[in-house]
Amino acid sequence: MSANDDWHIRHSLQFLDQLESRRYRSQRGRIESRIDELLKDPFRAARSERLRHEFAGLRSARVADATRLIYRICQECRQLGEQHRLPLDCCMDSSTTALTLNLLCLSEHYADMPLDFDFGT
Amino acid sequence: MRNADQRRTDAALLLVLWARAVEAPLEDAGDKLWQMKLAFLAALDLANGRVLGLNLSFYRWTWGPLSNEVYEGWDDLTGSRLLQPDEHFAFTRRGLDLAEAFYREVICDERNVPVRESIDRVADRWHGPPQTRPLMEHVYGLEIVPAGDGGSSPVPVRSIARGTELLEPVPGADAVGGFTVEPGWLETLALTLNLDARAPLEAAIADFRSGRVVVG
Repeated sequence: MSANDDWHIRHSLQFLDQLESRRYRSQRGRIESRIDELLKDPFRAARSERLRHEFAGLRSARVADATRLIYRICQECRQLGEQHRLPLDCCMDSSTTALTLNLLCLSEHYADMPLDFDFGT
Repeated sequence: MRNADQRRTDAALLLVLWARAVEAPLEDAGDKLWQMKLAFLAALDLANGRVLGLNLSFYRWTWGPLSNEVYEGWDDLTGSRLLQPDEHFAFTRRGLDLAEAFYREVICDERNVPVRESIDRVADRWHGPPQTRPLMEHVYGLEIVPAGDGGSSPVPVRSIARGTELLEPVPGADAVGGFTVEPGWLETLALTLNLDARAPLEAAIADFRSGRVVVG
């Protein structure tokens, strides 16, 4: 898979709404900078990792300590035959070029879990 | 204290252990006492082999070995709807699917053979409908050297005083084996175990499926 071709980009409205939100407004420069890095090397930049199991076909890239960018690379998804796992519109639409990054959302899933203990029962 | 990645991999390992030990995980995955004792046996087996796999500490409490980290595991697994809480737990379909995938792709990795052998040994030994009484009797009769009491002889768990530390995770420096989880799986577990974090992803997938997409 090549990493220096001309990549196209598609955003979900969810992602654009997040960019405008109070939560991410202050991080906007950093987020855009990470996207620029991903456009140069979508497979390795920003510590990108392929997600597994029920999220197979998606990638998670590091924006900040706990903030991640969830995205899909059409080329990789097609080569690995992962379209059926979490199908998006591009999986059914042959006019979408393989050199496309689909930016789904920003995610805080890597935020540390609470480590306090409630004895409960 | 374990970190967040260790907490998440502990939850996944426990999920696999319980899923493989019970006969019908979608119907009966044992009660808290049964799951706790099985977790203790797995942690003990790993410790005996000096394998750092589960990051759980156990102390003697009213009904035998108890680990606060297993309680946190229940919080994580029920909170993310992988296990259904009740008098007896039951796996959800998602929970069982995750257990099978994590076993196949992570635990069966050739780097994790000692961990797989411990999990398999305990799960195979107690496989069947979960029966708490015989498992508790077995654990009460086990002779162990309580953690931090290295010079003493092994004593039966039932005779150890309440509050005594029984078992600690193998210190990294003493371990002859560890548990390797690729970063992609750590990210996946973080997303799977955090139900709140899934909402934006689900909204984004819905956007892509219904044409709410902006190009460029």
